[in-house]
Amino acid sequence: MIVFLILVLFLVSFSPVFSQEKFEKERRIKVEEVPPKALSFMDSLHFQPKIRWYLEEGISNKSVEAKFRRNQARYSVEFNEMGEIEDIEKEIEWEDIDLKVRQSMNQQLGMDCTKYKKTRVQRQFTGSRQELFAWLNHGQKDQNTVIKYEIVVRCRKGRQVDLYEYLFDAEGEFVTRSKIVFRKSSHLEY
Amino acid sequence: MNINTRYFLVLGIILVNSLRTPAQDSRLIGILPTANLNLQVRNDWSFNTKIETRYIENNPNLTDLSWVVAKNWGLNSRVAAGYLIRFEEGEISQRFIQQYAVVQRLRGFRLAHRWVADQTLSSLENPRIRFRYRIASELPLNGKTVDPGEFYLKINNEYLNAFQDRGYDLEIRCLPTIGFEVVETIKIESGLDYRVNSFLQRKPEQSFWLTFAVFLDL
Repeated sequence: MIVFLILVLFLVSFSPVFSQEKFEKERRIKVEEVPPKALSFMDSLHFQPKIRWYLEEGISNKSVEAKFRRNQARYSVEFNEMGEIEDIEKEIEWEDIDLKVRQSMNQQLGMDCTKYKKTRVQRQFTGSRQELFAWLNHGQKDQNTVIKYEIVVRCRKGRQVDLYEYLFDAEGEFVTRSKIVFRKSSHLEY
Repeated sequence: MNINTRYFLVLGIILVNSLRTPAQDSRLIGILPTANLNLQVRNDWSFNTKIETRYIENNPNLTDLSWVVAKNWGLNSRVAAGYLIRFEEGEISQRFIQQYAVVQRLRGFRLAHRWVADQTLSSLENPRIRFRYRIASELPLNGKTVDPGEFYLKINNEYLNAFQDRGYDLEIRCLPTIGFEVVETIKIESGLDYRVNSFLQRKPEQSFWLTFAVFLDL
């Protein structure tokens, strides 16, 4: 028992040293911690959703995310550390995408996977503060606003099954793909 | 008072109160420390070894050592088989384990389902076969996922169907636990383990354990 307690104390006492290895971390934050520019962007909208604010910390950058629901759809508005808007993501149904664009994306997925299933589809908007504000507030899309699609796909290739996050442009052309790594779960299984 | 200090305080109050509970005939109060090491051997294969000791009134009453080999089965499930040896008051018993577990990543929390079949052999009693189902949830106490340096709440609920000497018994376990992710590969947990059995035929036998666990996932 004593040995066990010593082991636990040892691990806890060294945690700040180990923690330097972290690469990405997110936590919920209070409104008071949100950069004023980001807060004023959200406060200026004609609708006032219930917002959950998150801070994401990477190795070299930090971002703030406002998450909310509107008309049953989930939105995520990402700001940089200074409160400048970076993009807006909206969860959509696969069928909401134009058929031609879907066909193009399916073609890429068909090449990468022998069998696949889309588990989450998001439409991503990037542009200036004014353009994104107009789109979020009134649904008016500026011609300069860049649209991309972020799709999470369960992909089987041979006997290997993995989860990937794909990024496609507005025409459904492949941009990037990254593998989603699952967090350790032995404490839930044993 | 920051958020971590608050969790420590809540945990402390729960633990102190649990130790104050007066001992009764059908209740057993003890401490259950566990160390669990999980090694990723190859892409799809992993090896898990665990040591768990039960202390009653500061004396070791029972020690379990187990070794389990697991293989990923699809995206988020695993099949496993293993062996456990128990040292209890000078006697040894053995257990063979077969397990299937699924971990679901849901919005804001994780849910794990575990089905286990085990067969226990000992020189003192007839073989015992059990079929177990456990549901475990991991709820981050800060943010959407559990990150290093953050606390989480883990709640396990398990149903154990035991068959022995043509008899049947059901045991139910409930384990509320507070966990802390030291780094991605190390987690420590402490909480209560409440077990009740024999309530189908006679007066229920209840036991309470104070748990301490460390998980290394390499």
